[in-house]
This record gives sequence, C-alpha cells and structure tokens, in this order.
Amino acid sequence: MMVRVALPGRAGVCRQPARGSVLCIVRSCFDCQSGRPVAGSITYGVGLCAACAGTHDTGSMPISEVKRFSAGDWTEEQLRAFRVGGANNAREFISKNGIPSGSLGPSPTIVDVLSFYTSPTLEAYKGHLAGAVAAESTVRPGALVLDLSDLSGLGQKSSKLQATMPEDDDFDFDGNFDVASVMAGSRAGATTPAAASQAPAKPATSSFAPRRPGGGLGAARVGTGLGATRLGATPMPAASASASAVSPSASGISFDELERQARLEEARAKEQAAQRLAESSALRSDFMSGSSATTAAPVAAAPTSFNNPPPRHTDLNAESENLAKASAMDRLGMGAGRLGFGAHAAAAPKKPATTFEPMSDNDRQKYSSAKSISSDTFFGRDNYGGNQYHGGDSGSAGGGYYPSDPTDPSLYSHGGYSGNQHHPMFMDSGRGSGAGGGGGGVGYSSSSSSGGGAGAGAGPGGRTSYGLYDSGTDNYSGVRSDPFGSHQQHQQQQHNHHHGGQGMGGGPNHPGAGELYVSPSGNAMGYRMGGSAQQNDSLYANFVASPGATATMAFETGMNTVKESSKKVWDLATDLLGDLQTRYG
Amino acid sequence: MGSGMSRALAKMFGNKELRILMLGLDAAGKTSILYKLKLGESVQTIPTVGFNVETVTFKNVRFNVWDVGGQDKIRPLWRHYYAGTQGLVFVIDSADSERLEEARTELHRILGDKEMRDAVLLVFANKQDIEGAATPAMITERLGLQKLTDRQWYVQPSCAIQGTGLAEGLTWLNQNVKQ
Repeated sequence: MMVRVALPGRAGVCRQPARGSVLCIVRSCFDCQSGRPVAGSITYGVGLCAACAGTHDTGSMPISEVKRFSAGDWTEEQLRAFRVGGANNAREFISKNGIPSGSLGPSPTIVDVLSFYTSPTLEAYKGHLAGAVAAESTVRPGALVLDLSDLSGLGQKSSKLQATMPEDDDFDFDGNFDVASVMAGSRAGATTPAAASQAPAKPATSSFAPRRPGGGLGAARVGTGLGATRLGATPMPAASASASAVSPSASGISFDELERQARLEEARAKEQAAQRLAESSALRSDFMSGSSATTAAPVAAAPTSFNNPPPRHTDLNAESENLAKASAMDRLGMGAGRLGFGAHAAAAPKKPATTFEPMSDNDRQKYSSAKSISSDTFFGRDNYGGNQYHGGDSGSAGGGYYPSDPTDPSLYSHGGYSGNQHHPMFMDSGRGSGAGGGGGGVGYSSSSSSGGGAGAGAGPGGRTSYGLYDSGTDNYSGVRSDPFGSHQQHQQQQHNHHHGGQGMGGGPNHPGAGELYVSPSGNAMGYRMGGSAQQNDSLYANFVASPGATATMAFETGMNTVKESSKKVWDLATDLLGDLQTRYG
Repeated sequence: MGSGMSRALAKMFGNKELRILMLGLDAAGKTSILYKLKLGESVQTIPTVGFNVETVTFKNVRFNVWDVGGQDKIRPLWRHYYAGTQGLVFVIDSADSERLEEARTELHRILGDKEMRDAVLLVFANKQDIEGAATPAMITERLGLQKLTDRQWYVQPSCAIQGTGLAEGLTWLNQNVKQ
C-alpha cells in the first residue's frame, strides 16, 4: 500500500511498506533546486522534480535510474541509496572532488544535466555511492531509518526514530534528504498504486504536523496512525518507544491524516479517469458515425486506448493547477507523462485548437472526396478548387529558377495513387548529408549539445557522446538548439568512436551554459574551409547567435554552387571568404 | 557586405534552401518518407532513435529534411529542432485512427511553440495504401486543422512505400514556405 502526499513545502513523501514501511522525505529537486520532488534518482541518491526526472530518464540512455516515489516497487536497496546518499552528501562529494564545469542552474536544460552527470566527478560519485550502499547493506541489513529531524527543525539526534534494530544514531543526512522507515510487519489495505500521488499542495489542509501546533508524532499518534492499526502490523515497541521520546511538538507526520488525504485524492483521480474515458469514447463514436453531435457513449463500450490513460495520468491533471509546474513540464514535453511524471496533461495548455471539434456538415461534405486539403482552400483564401494545385511559381526567390513545371502531370493529378514508383523529380543531391540515426542517444548529439558548448564525452558507462566532434579541428563545438547549425556531415558512428572513453569534453570551446559556441572565426571557419574541398554540399556554419554567421552560411551555399560552375567565380568567393575571416577572425 | 554578395550569388544560381522538420508519432512513416525522397526507393526502416537528416534536392530547391524519432520517450527532444524550421511536415499514420487524438495533441503542442510560429504545416496522411485509411477530410477534422486559421497548412495523402503524394507535398512546401 502506498501513501503519497504532496507535503507543503515542496517535499515528496513515499512510503513503501512492502518490506516494512518506508518513508522518504525529499525536500527539493537536486537538479533545479526548486521543483517539488516526485521521483528519486537511485543512481545518485537524490530527489528530482518531475521535469528533471524526465530529463534523467529521457530516451534510451537514461542519465540515471529514476523511480517515482509513488511507484509501488521500491526496494530497500534502492531506498538505501537515499539513506546513504542524499543531496547533501552528493554536494559535499562534488565540492571535494571537483565541481563540474557545467553546473546546474535553476532550470537546467537537457544539455546542462547531461554534461553535469557525465562529468568525471559525478561518475565517480555514482561509484562511490554504489559502494557505500553495498557496504551498508552488509553492515546493516534491513536497517532503514526514520529521520524527521529536518522537518522538526530541532536537533537531529533527538528526533531520530529507528524502528528495526537498535543502532547508534550516527546517521547524518539532514538537509535536503531524509529517508525514514518504520518497519511494520505487513502491508494493510490495497490501493491503486497510481492514483493518489500527485495531490497539489494544499497548505490549508496540510496534514503536516509542524504547521499545526500541538499536532505531531506523539506516542499516541504513532500508536494509532503509524503502527499497528493502520498497517495492521504487529506492535512496534521500538518505534513507539523512540517515538515517544520525541517531543510532540518536535516533529511529526500524521500518517492517519496523510492516508486519509491520499485516499481522497485517489477517489478524485478515479473520478476524473472515468470522466475522461467517457469523453474520449464519445468523441470516437461521434466521428465514426459521422455525426457532428456529441453523444455520450457508454464507458464500457470504449476500447482501451491511448486516450484512456491509466489513472496516473489523471493525477497530473490535478497538478495542472500548479502553473509553475505546468510550465516546467511544458519545457519537458510529452515524454514526461509517459515516464509517469505527468507532463502530458499538465503541460498542455487548454487551447481551443487542441480540443476536438467536428467539422460542420457542410465542410464534411464538401471535402469528403477531396484528395488533399489546404488551409487556403479550406478558408477560401484562393480560387483554386479543393484539390487543384496552385500551379504558379511564388516567385519569392526571384529569378524564376524553380518554376512549377507545367508539363509535369503529377502537379495536377492529385489522384496521387497511380503508383509512380520513382518520382523523376527527386534528384539525389549526391552528397551525403545524413547523420544517420545511430544508436542510443544520437539525437542528443547535435540537438542538445548546446549550452556547455561541449561534448559531454562518454563516460565510463559507455554512453555515447553528446557533443559534436569536429573532425576538422579536433574541437568540440556545441550547437544551441539549432539542428541546422550542426555539422551534418559527421557520421554518428564516428562521433561515438571518437568519444569512446574520453570523458568530459571541454577545452577551449567551452563557454558558459546557454550561450554558444563557435564564433564564426577561428577554428570553425577553418574547418568549414578545409572541409569544403570534399564536402561542400552540407557544410553549415554554426550560426546561432553569431552576427555574421547567417551571412557566412549563405555565402558558403553560394560558394558551393559557384565552385561547381566556375573556377573564376570560385576565386572571387574565396576572396570573399578571406574577407569574412579577416572581419570576424 | 558578405551577406549582400551571397544573396546575389544565391539568386544567381537559384539556390533555395528550405529547412524542414518532420515529426509525427512513432511508426507514422517519417523515416520511410525521408528515404523515399532521398533515395527514391522504399527502405526497410527501424524505429528512429535520434534523428536522420538528409538534403533532398527537388526542382532546384534543397530541402533539408530533419526526421526526428517519434517515440513518446524522445518527443521531449523535438523542441530542440524547432529553431529555424520553415516547414513542419507532420506525418500521420492514416490507418491508425486510434492514435489520431494523440497525434492531434502532439501537433498542437508543436505548433504552440513560439519557435514554430512561422512554420508552415504540411500533413502527410501517410499509409494510404492500407485499406481503411483516413481520408484527408477526416485527418483535417481529427487534427483540428479547421481551427488553424492563422497558419498555412496542407493535408496531403501519401504512401511512403510507393512514393505517392510526396512530390505534391514538397511542391506545396516550396511554394508556401515564407522566405
């Protein structure tokens, strides 16, 4: 049975009673230091907010093993990572062993996070933590700890509460992380593991005792709420005893209260889920029948599909009230929802266009046989028929170099399916521009190796590279969010190869996060020149935010053509490039 | 100076280049379309993890087509490709009516990004060779395009395997992308 409650003060709580009841209290997200933690990185033993957790778990190359606190299958070993780890320990280790160049800020980009966690320090910490976890599990098998000290604001020692075995109170993981456990014999009650987790924080109905004078974790509370009654467990003398040693006003979580609230949220989530189910099935049946009237369909009739999400999606709905969270999730996008962190519902702002609205019957009839539909025809912005193609050249490029070919029947025959296997108009551009899919996180390579500017090189774990490897200059160059600025020529395999065991990239081209990157001078320029002899087709300057870069790129484009057609003009262009170099170099 | 000169050169030689971003749900046929355009033959693809990029020259226009994997876990990466995109090609599996809702959500999420505000939208209603594929009208309706009054869009039925419809789509892009 799980209880997950959003604590006031942005903390996440997880109780895992499968092998004893375990309570995790995480105060803030380790990465952005602001988000409410809903998940934990087992690899690093730190808590993460939904957005950052999504970053960690994005794609096929997760940065770290992330588990949502509301997940039902936390093991002791996993919790132990938090017990021996925690944000403070991590920070301490980092400060001792070298702060990575790309440190995390308030809203880190994927690249920031990637370069941070692939830095040698963090890789080392990963090993360090794993070792510590293993060591502790042999020293203290089964021992987890309840530490409410940080919540109480009182001395740490006084509020330590250990349930399982008597131990010395030498745990010191105050700060952003507390892990608590009360060993209770068995679980009690069964709830849907998904629903109740993401209750929006409601300070007014806070169940968190410190906000309420007089509440708290007194002996009586523990006896009824935490221990035997609620969990149906055997009495816990140790827990009760040490709990009663805690001053009632010191620290306390009313588990009764937490569970009650969780159940309420759960019920609400279920209700929402049912509602959505009904809505979506209504939509489906509506379209299938061609009717524009929305009729409700029986819930049971709807087949399960993507838009009948499991309840875990609806709890995100509840979260969408939190605007800050929503924007954070929006940043993350769709995937987080799939990861179970709920970005999907929360991130999508309610826009008229995103809600299904059937066409008018008139339109439906009008376009039912149209081979293709364009906005112009649909909104009557031109005189062409529904599937007639606009034959005229837009002329926007001037010079009329690419007029529509009036002799090309395919432009007019939108019948389309006549099976022209090879369209004659497709000319292979002749030069490989493909980066190729590549495996694992290749997509990161050019898309997100920005900010830090530099490749977060492959770590020991064999991750592939995130940086762009510029073979021409042996420089890593970052490209900020602009795929078109990337070097398309590079074969991804080559990337990976080069990055092999290189660790953190870095070096001279390593400016601060968020800026970029390669100036149109120096190496980049040199590279473009050097490469153009063989690869003039697809060499693009990195031009994000660099004043002359667009010009440079356009220039190159022109230059390539020139080169193909006339050596004379080529010389001219070379002069021009030299001029540019002088200017920006 | 360089800028003006290069523009003149580009004009002289008819260089027009369009940056096209191709997105869509997983298994919609983006990579198939890309390589059908590039190679003129249908290739056996595997789910794209990361992206593919090819330059396709079509009627003197160079289309820089970025095909980004559509699996839900990597959709958050899409936004990294938005900047500078002139045309969005959104590929739909017309035969998968179950996921049209999902496609609509994703599409509108993309279009809502401010980086994409100037991009025109080409929807390839792909997999038209499959029986029961949604018609352009259905796609238009299910994607909510009739609400998109402030954007140039075009729904083009296609079949990546046979290559039908792809030329029409590119032609439309060519003529409607704002330079």
